[in-house]
Amino acid sequence: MNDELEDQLWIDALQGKVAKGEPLSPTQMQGGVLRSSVLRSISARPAHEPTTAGFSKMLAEAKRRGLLKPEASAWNPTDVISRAYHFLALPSSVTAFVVIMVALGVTTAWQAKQLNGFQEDSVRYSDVMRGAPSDTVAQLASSPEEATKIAQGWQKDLLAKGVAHSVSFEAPSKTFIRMRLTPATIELLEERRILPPKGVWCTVSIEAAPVKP
Amino acid sequence: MTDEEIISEINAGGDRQTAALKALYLGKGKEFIRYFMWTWKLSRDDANDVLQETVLKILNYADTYRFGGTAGAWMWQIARNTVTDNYRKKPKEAPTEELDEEGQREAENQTSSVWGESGSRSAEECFSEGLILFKEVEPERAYVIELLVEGVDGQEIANRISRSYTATRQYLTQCRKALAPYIEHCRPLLST
Repeated sequence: MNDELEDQLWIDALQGKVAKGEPLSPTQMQGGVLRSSVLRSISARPAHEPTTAGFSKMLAEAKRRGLLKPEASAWNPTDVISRAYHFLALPSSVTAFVVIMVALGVTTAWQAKQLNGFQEDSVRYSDVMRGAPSDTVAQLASSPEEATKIAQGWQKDLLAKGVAHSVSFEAPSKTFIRMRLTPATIELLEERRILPPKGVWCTVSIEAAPVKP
Repeated sequence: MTDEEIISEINAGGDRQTAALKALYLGKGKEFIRYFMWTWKLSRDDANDVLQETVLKILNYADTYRFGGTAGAWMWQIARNTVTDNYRKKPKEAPTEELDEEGQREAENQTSSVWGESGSRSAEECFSEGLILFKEVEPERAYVIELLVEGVDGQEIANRISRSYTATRQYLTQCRKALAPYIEHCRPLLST
């Protein structure tokens, strides 16, 4: 009989798992007697269990050391972060996290593509309703070259008056100049016969008019 | 309440924390006390002190526990560290298995009455003496044998001795080999 089997027989005998009616091997007999001895030793001990008085003493000590804390709020940010951390510590959670992040990435990329497509179509100013609240005013040029010249003129004037502004471009030849409405910028708009919009901001959209067929 | 729930509830704070501490102290505390008294041979008072310190440490570090089904092993590791620290602080004290007078008398009475009823008294007596000696020298191994006899499952034994399940299996085999010299001379009595 190999050692491994002997060990298993010994462990089984210690646990009281011995087939009845079958002759016992020396190992099983030894395990059985050992089991009786251990059980007798355990039962001979005086029982000692923790008491509620001991528990109260322990609680008082915990309070004295400042270890007890009030009930955590369901929306406690620290608790939420802690729970999320514990959740992510699980291997299955990591897989779930990766799947969610990939799904979010795909969704974001798709939305970005959709948005980009929308911007390419752009706004047709002829379709904009009159009187609609907008801080954008348009300046049409006869050609892309003239549109560039108009945009450069704006930037030059704004710089000359020390007005902070932002410039952005949109393909193929559209320029947006955004500025805060001040007496200086209102003057520049009026010089160009543009009615300043309501509000405190103004965006001048400069583009070449579409070529008529 | 499971071990994982105990830690989770401790972290919740307030009344839930108190209830979890009570479950820990009065429930799991029974096994801690037993381990402290019978393996480390602490007196009743010392065992209570170490239990208190163990529970306070679990309370203090509960928010650092990383959930994953090993709460039992984590708590037992704290208990073992605490009792080891306690033992180091009192190295010169002779370890004594402290039974009060009444307990000692009761133990003697129970033992003698069972010997009287048994047909194989000599073998059992021989084994018991061997076990007592074994426990003096190898208290941890004697404790594991006790757990096995009581039917504690393998994973729980592994938790209590801070080993993996496979390592615990090997440890049990080693226990058998370590015990052998203490009871080998009793073998001839087994057939009688």
